[in-house]
Amino acid sequence: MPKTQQDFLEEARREIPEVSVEEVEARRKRGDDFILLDVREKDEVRAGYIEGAVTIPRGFLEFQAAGHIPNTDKDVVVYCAGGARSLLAAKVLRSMGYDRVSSMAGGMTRWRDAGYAVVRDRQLSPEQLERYSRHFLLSQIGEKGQGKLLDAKVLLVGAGGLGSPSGLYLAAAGIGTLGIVDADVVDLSNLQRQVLHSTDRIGVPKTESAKQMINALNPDVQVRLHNERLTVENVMAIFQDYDIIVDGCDNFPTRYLVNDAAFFAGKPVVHGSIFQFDGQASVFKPQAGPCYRCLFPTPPPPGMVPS
Amino acid sequence: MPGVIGVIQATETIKLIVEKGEPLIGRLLMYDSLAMRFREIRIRRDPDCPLCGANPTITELLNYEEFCGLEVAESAAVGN
Repeated sequence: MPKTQQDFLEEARREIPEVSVEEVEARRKRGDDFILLDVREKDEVRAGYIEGAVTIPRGFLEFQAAGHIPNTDKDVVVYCAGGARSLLAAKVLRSMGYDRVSSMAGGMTRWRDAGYAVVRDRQLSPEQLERYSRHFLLSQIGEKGQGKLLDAKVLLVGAGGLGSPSGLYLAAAGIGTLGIVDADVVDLSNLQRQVLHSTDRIGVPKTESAKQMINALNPDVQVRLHNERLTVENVMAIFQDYDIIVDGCDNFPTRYLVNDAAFFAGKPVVHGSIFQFDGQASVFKPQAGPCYRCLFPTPPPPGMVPS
Repeated sequence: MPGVIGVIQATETIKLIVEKGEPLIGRLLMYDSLAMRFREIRIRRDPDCPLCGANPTITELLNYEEFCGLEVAESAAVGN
């Protein structure tokens, strides 16, 4: 006998307990340890979802469940728009070894009717959905992470050897605002490694050159130019507008200036340095870990290490 | 060569923004491109650090050229 839609639902109801929206809200308020899984289609999720929910469209459930919910012992409450898809999805999860799975009766419709909180992420345009589509395949980023990247403001100190690759990849990833500090102009000898620039832009200020390359790659990025050297006079005012500082300095005085200013401003510094064939990288986050001075309390004697 | 470090910096920045993965806080990643080897050492906050330690002595921005000995070196050269 071919199965009907009703058959599928009844079979699922026999196996899967249902919980009310009130119960789910109560558990959230109590801070209970459980996972909310939204199995609706992406456009439904974009219109609003329950904060903190993991989202896997029903069509990808078998393939992505383990990646998003590695621990099959977890208490999982599945929801959809009306409470039907979630029953079927929960039955599949049970067969995958998730023993503590239940379905939220009435789904988002009943959740909304009850007046409970619904959140929406920053809306991405169709072009952005296409541009960043490879990010959405990564559970660690997804559309929500992309929204964070588009809202972020990152300052690149130096658009040279280190600032070039970091600037290019940050722009490609969709960092919404990229500030660039550099007082130099593009020189032929830069082009051996400074891939942000080009032969036809020799003589152009590096900030301008960087902006051209970055916007050609990704017009979403708002590039702010700081065509100047960082000094004691300007650093605090410049830093305050950004969330993260990327250190691509090419000299020690600036490196210590960046470290101290970022500490006073409470901004993390993503540090990088190179010398001939060696390189180093670290992240200095105020209060969370060491700063540059914890590592290098004194600079090398002048002349020992060229800038 | 700066390419690798620059891309590592971009990766760390993205991780901080999306709040996923383990950032290089408290770790120094060292890259020897000739040997093609990566090494990592743990680095700790120095409790005596003049900037971020328990008793900071640096509470505002300094003259960094002087701190790095550049002004002193220049004036020494001029003196000779």
